[in-house]
Amino acid sequence: MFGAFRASGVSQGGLLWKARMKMDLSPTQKANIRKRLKAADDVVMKIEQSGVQCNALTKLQAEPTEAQMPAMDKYTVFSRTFKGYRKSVHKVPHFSKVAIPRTAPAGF
Amino acid sequence: MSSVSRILATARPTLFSSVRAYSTSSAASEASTAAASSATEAAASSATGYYKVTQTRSLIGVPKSTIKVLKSLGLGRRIGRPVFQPHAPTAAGKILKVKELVKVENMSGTIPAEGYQRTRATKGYKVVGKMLP
Repeated sequence: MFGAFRASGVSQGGLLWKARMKMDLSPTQKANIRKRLKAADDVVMKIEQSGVQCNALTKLQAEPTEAQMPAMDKYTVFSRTFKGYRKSVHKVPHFSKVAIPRTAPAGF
Repeated sequence: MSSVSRILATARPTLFSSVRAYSTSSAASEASTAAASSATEAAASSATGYYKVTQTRSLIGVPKSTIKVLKSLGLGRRIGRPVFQPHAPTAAGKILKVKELVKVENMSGTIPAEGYQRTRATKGYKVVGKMLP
């Protein structure tokens, strides 16, 4: 591109994208997302079984479990800036450790 | 809610004792008993016990508010080292805040005197005396 230089991420301005630019996730990534959702559900279930009541539990009981979520809600999140208003969940920083919304706004 | 989630929500009845479809194997038996008794108290564990909370993920990249809650639970030092918390709304709320980083078990009885469970094997011998002072 620039004469003798081989066009690479580094030579084209220094911004190196290591994550795939694609929206789709591999089967392993999806399996791990489901595993983590089930693990979070398990924590909520154990708190329910203990009989303790608190506001946080009431709010979480209104959320769907992994079995009740459609695939689109598991692997994508709402985003106002992306085309289609949905982006892949792996684009959310630290998505494997941070609470991801389980439902999107109505219509998205 | 997304349109698909809303269709699912209307199909689900909205009771206080949740009818969430848990996919873990221990939930399958619990779901039937909970539905029959229609109370969250009718569970396998006793009424007053404690939670055994174990951290499963590292704190790196976690928001500071969540780290504070994790440390107030007694976690944050080593992954896999369990901590005991009483069956109380304060502890329950904290555990739910950090639910992506921990796993929980319900235990019956009183909280053990030792802060955390020893994870090493027993020595196999008992020291009865020492030659040197």
